This record gives sequence, structure tokens and C-alpha cells, in this order.
Amino acid sequence: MNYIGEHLLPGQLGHLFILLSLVSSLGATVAYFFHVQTKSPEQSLAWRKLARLFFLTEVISVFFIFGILYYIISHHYFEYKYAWQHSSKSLEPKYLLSCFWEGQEGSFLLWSIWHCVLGLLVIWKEKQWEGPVMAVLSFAQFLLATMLVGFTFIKVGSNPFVLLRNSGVLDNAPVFHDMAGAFRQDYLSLITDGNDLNPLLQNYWMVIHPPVLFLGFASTIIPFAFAFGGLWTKKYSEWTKAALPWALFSAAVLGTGIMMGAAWAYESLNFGGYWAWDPVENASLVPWLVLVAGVHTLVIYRHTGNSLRSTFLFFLLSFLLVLYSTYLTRSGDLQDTSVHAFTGEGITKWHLRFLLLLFMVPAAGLFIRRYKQIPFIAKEEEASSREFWMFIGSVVLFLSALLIIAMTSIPVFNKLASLFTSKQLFTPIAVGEDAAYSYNRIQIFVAIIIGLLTGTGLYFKYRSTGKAFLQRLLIPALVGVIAGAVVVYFGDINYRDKTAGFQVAIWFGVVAAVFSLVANAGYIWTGFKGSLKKAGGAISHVGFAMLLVGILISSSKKEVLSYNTSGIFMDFGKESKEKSGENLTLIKGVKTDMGKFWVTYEKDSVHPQKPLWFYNLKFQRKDGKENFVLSPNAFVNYKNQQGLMANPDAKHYWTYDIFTYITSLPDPNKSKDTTTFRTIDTKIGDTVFYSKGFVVVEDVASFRNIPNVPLGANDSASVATLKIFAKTGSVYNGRPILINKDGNAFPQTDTLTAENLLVQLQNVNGRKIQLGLRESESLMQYVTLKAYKFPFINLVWAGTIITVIGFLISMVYRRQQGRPGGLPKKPARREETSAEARGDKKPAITG
Amino acid sequence: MKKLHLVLLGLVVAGIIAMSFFIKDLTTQETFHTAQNKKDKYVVVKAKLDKSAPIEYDAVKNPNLTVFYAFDNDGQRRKVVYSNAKITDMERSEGLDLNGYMRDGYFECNKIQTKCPSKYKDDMKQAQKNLSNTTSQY
Repeated sequence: MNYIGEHLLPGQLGHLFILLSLVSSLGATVAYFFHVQTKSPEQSLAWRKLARLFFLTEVISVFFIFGILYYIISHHYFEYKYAWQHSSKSLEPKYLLSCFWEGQEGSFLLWSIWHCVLGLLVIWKEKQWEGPVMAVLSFAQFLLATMLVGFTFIKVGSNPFVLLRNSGVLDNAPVFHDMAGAFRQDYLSLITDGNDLNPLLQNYWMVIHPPVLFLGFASTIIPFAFAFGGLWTKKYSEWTKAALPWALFSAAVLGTGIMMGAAWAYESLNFGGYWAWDPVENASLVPWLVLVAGVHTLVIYRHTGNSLRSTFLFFLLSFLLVLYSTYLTRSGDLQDTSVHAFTGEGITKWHLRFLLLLFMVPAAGLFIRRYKQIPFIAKEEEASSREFWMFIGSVVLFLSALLIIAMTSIPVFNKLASLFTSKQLFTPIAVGEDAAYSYNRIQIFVAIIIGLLTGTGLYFKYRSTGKAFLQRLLIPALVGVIAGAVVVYFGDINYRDKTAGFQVAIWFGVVAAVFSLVANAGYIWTGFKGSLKKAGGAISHVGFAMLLVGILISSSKKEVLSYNTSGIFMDFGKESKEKSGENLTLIKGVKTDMGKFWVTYEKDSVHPQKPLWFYNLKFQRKDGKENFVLSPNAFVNYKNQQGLMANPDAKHYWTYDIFTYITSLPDPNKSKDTTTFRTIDTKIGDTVFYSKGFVVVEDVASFRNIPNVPLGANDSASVATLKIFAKTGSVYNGRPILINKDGNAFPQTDTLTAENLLVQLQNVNGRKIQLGLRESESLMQYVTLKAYKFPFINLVWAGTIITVIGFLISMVYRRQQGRPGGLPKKPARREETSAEARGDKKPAITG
Repeated sequence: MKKLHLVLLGLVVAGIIAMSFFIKDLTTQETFHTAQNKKDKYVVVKAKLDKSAPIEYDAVKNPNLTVFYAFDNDGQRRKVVYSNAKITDMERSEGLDLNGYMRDGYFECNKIQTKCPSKYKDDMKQAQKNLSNTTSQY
């Protein structure tokens, strides 16, 4: 049966390439496996040739899948479910790519694409380790391809090229069927537009954050594959040199991706900050922490021969944690606890669990079996050695990651527990009242330790450090601690609503971080003599210290500006810790008291194409020093989504941001107004009360000239002059008119929107008049908002950027070090040679 | 025993202490009925909004007070007082996780997690609902 207007070719090609990708990635996996396993060099090379061919086919297929899907979305072929579900004709072109990561299939496709790019780089650059690394990577590609196949007989994966009419969406809609119940040939003509992209994703951060984050996720497979390859081929130490730049790259990109997500949350979500310890955020942070721990232990190994076993553990774990996080966030099992939970539909939970298990079982099995064979140094590290403290730092990062992931996994724990126990025995658990605090008060100690260790670490030398050497630390330490103390003292850093112990811990954290900043900046000059290309580590530490300072200060001094100063408070009882509310309602045109500011909701405007409303709020400092306008916006009743989706707006200063967003608007459904006019007998000079003030009748006058209303001999017109005194202190004038024409009275209502008040002149009899008053909810135009002051948020962003730059500098440096004829190995010669040398020299190692 | 091992042992102990603090803070998921017996305890009640009763929220009178009724998993109906602005998608929610304290006659709540169909665009039922917006005849 043919349907009118369908474009079936792209979909058929898409199907073909999906199958091709599935087959070729499996082929590449098998061929690379035999390439590694085969002893004979010729056969091995033949396998490699075949494997490369397979992988190239895979790359081409994946790029075609991506290209075809993009073609379908950009041409608005709504016969395809993916295009219909995630895009619309009105979608701006810059957001077309964002449609990919709104759906599960597109997200996995993006991941797959990055694997392809990384795989090509590996083939090009890592001749020696191509085999094992690519075998692992191809296997991952195969499993990702299964996500997209969408076999129908057993539900495996979800195909992005499925047609809307085959997807089941249209099945229950009678419109699409003719009288006989058959599907209409011209069904496509009825579908006029797509569902559009979730407005939350229509934000520039959402165009760049997911690709970067996914590159970060995808790149963690490279250190994993190196470590796995090392175990597999029993070449336990050779992989380390090549893996280090890759691990640094991964840490840089994943770090950037996470903080871009934070920036998105800060700028376009309204959980009031850049970090909320949300499960989705935690799930991306944890692999990063473990990866960074692995980078440090690998550096230790490269210099001293210590910590190889932990390096294996950390690299294997960081990728497994990426998979576990994927399961957590995409299986739908977290839906109850996360703000931005993803769906469990499309790609099944079991599929994601298998993905995790298929990597975890071989990796864990191999690691445990080969653990004893991994070389290690039995001799104890000296407490004055750099590796000693670096290793402790890595373990602290690792433990911190373990705690975070354990806390995030509560829903999984509930699920597991409910499998083995009965309902009576086990009550599902949940995170307590102050979720963020339960993370913060543990992680603050991590921050203190990390601050101290990153500050001192570089001043130690590998193996052992002489006293004279350590004295160089004295000045930076002194300066750092004093500077930190000054920040704490004058910065008025307080967490008054928490315990004193926490407050003191925060102070220590700030001092430790400031000290680390000073010490590392100092070391760039004293230790590296200002040579930035060698100083990647120190630069990263500076950035990270800055990030820590930013985090500690910005969250300690985050102030609510919109404390409710008007309205009725609910008495929650004595025991209640309830604070006065953080929402404040602004009535249009009324100047409202908000802390240091007067705020006026002046006007609103709407986006020309979408129901995106901008609310102009005028902020006036009470000391008169500054005026500015913020325009938080909100999607109101977007498509069929009732209610509003608010985007914040912020005024940026060097040292703080004023940040505000809309929490509530008048409900349009409430506009069915049931109030009626209340008639009041009064006379000139009298006062009439209404709920929010009073009205003084100043005068009533009659007149005859009304434009466009010809008045006859018996007709008359009167106007009342009213002064309306509102409780807020404002005074308004009202001039309701009454026209008597042909024996009928026509009162012309005067409306006072700011006060919700309608006034009528209903009858005039000399000095006696009848006034009609009506107070209506529907008249009122207002916005309810929250406003915060975030101090030193810029330190967070700047710190992130510097950290990432440091990682990248290290990456380039390590890469050049590893290259024959590259940089001279002089600066670290003694340490540099040791790793390989020790690895080969058996006597240094005891089993 | 190596120095390093001592330090690591110390760290692990610190980690366990930290974890126990966290576990102490954990709360449980209750129903309105079981929460009644734990009045001073912060609990989580999984509930559904009673859509037949109106959600009372008047931003002009008090923007920080929302009152509504909800059924828990046992079908018990209770008044819920939420000390914040009304959650925008609340009417359409399929489930609410109410976080707070059981008081006499009502549940006082300071955090609500909503399960909203809008979040799950891939959901088939939701897709069928959305159909009406994108077609010409309906």
C-alpha cells in the first residue's frame, strides 16, 4: 500500500546503514580480537587489515545514519516518528541538532559518532596499542548499534527511522482511518506539524553542552581500553605512556561538559543555582572524579613505578561508572528523585543493564585474575615523597566519588531490596530533608583535604624531599593562609542556618583552597620558572582551587532577595523550621519592596513566533545608586504543555550576580469572573471602602459633549471625580461616566488595573449618587518571582576554564614527551626512565 | 604496616563515618497513615493529586502557600499544605512525592517531586495525546 507524500528512501537507507553498522562493528571486534590473539605476525597483520576495513565501514555507516537523520529532521519529514516527536516547522535551525539529544536514539548515536572519531584517531596515532584498544572500542560500538536496531520480534533497541504510522502513535486516532477502518492513504496531509523540541532545550547551552559531555563520556573508554588491553596482553606497563595524554584529554573534556551543564542549569533552569547534587549531575561527576584519581596515579607510576594497580582500577572503573550512570539516568529508575530524569521508554532497562554487565564482567574478571601479576614496588614510599601525598589525594577523590555514587543510588538500592525482602520488613528509603546539605557536609572535608594536598603536592619531590626543598613552601603557605584568613574574615562567609561545625569546616575549606591557589600559582614561577607548557598540573590546580573558592563562597553567601514582605503567613506551628517564603508577587505597575531594591513589574512582551513571554522588571537600588531592568522569560502554555516554563535572567557584576525567575503567573482559567458590582449609596465628599483601600467621591458633574454619542433633549451624561487611596500608599484618579439616553442608563466603567478595581457611576440624584464597585481577580496582572544574589559565581566559571586549560597543556606536554625526537626528557629524566626500566627489571619487583 | 596503609585506613574510617552520618539522615517512604505515627519525622509520601478538588493558590494573597488534596498509595485522602509557589504542571501530574511532616489533619510539605507526563515525551500515551496538536483535524 502506498501512502501519499511519504519519503521512504531516507528511512530505508537509514535502516540499511544501521544493519551495516551492527555487522561491521561486530566484524571489527572479532577481527581486532584475532589480531591481538594471533601469534603469527603475518596472520595478525591480515586480521588488522580486515579489522580496519570493518571499522572504516562502521564509521561511514554511523556518519550516514547521523546525516540521514539530520536530513529527515531538517526537511520536516513528519512521516518519521523521530522528526515528528522532536522537531517542528517553527524550530529555529540552530536547534535542529538539539533534536538529536532530546531522544534516546539520537543520544546514543551521538555517543557512537564520538567513538568513531576517537577510533580513527587511535588507528592513526597509536599503532602499537591499536589492536586491544580498538577491539574494546569496536565492541562498545557493537553494543551501541544494538540500541538502534529496533528488532521487532524481540524488542531490542529503538530504531530512529521508524515511521510514525508504524510506531503505534496513530493507531487509536479515528481521524487516520476511513469508514471501513483502514488506514487513510492521505494520512500525512493531516499531520501539519511536529511536536517540537522541549522548550527547556531551546537554549544555546543545550546546543553545545550535550556534544561536549558525550565526547567526555565517550573518551573515557580510551583509558579503559588501554588498561584493559594491558591486562589482556599482559603488557602491564607499556600502555601507560600512550594512555596518559588520552586520560588527560578525557578529564578535560568531561570536566568541561559537566560544567557546561552547570552553566545551563544556572542560566536556564530554575532550581536556583548551578549545582543541586541532582542524580543526573552526580552521575557525570563521579566518573570524572575517578578518572582524575587515575590520572594522578598514572603520573605517579610514570615517575616512580608505584601505584600501577590503582591506576588499572581507576581507569577501568571510570568507564564502568559512565555506563552505570547511563543506566541510572536513562533507565527511568531515577525518575522519582531527579529534576531532569530521562524516560525509561524506547530503550529498555535490561538493555542498559546488559551494556554495563558486558563490560563489567570481563573487566572485573581480568583485573582480579591478573591482579597478582601487575608489577608493584614493595618498598615503602617515604612520607616526604610526592607520590605518597599524590596517592592519598587520589584515594580521597576516589572515596569521595564512592560516597556520592552510593548516595545517588538509593533508588537502585530500594529496587534491589524490594526484590529480596517483603514489604513489611523493608520500608523504601529516601534522602532526608536537606539533600544538598547531606552531600555538602561530607564533601567539604574532601575539599579541605584536596585543597591542602594540591597546595603542597608539587613542592614535594618524587621519592624523597630534602628539608631545604620543602622550605620553598614556607612563603606560599604563609601568604596563602593569611590571604585565606582575610577572605574568610572580610568576606563574611557564613552558613548561619547550619551547624557551627559546618561553618568552621567551610572556613577551613576556604583557607585551604586559597592557600592552594597561591601555592600553585607560586610554583609556576618557582618550580617551573614560568614555563607554562610544563606547568599543566600546577595550572589545573590553580583552576581547581579557584573553582573550590568560588563554590564555597557562592553557596555560602547566596542570598534570597525575594523574601516575602507582604501577604499572609501560614502559621506552621512552633516546631516548624519554616522560613518566610521565598516567592514574592509583583503587581503590574506597583513598586514593591524587595530587600535592597524597589522592584516594579513594568511591562511584558511576547516573542514574535512562540509563546515566549518576557517580563520587564525594573530594579531600583534604594540608595538610588543604580537602576536596571531584568527580563526573565517564560514559555506560557507552550504547545499542549499547560503552565509555564521559566527561564531566569541575571544581572552580572564582577563579584556577584542578581538572578531572578518567574515562579507563577495568573491562571488564565481563573478569568471566569464571578464577582459582581456592589452598589453603594453615597454622596459627594463621602468615603467608600474597598478591600485594599478607600475611595473618596470628590465631585460629580454633568456634561453634554460626548464624542460619537449624540445626546437628545432628555438625555444626560454625568462624570464622577474619584480619588482612590490604596493601602500601598499610591493614589489614583477615577472618572466613571454615566450616560442616560432614551430612558436607559449606560454606566461606563472605569478600570483601575493596579488595584483590581472596577468603578461605575450607577445613578446620580443631585449630590446623592450610587457607586458600583467591583473587585476582580481576573483584572490583576502580576508575576510571582524568586530572586537571588549569587556572589563570586565568576570564580566558578573562571576556575573551570583554567582547570581545563591545565589539563590540555599537560596533555600536549605528555604527548610530546612520548614522541621520539619530541621534547627533551630532561626535566623529568630521572623519573621518566624509571617506569619502563623498573617494569622490565624484575629484581625491583616482588610478586 | 606501612605509613601509607595507616593513612588509607584513616581515610576509609573517615569515609565510613561520613556515610553513617548520611545514613542517619535518611528518611523513609511512608503512607499518610504510617506517617501519622512519626509526627516529628521528615518523611516522603508517594501520593496522587486529588483532581476533583481545586488547588488553592493565590499569588496575590500569599505567593508561598499552596493547599491541595492528595491520595496516598493506600487511597487515603489528606489535605496537603505546601509552603511554596504552586508547581506549574501540578494539575497534570501523575504522581507526587511529598516531602515533609505529618501534622494534625494535614501534611506539611516543603519539597515536592512531580511525575509529569510532559517530561516523558517518548511515552506512547503522551505521544498520542500530543497528536491532537500537530494534526489539522481534531
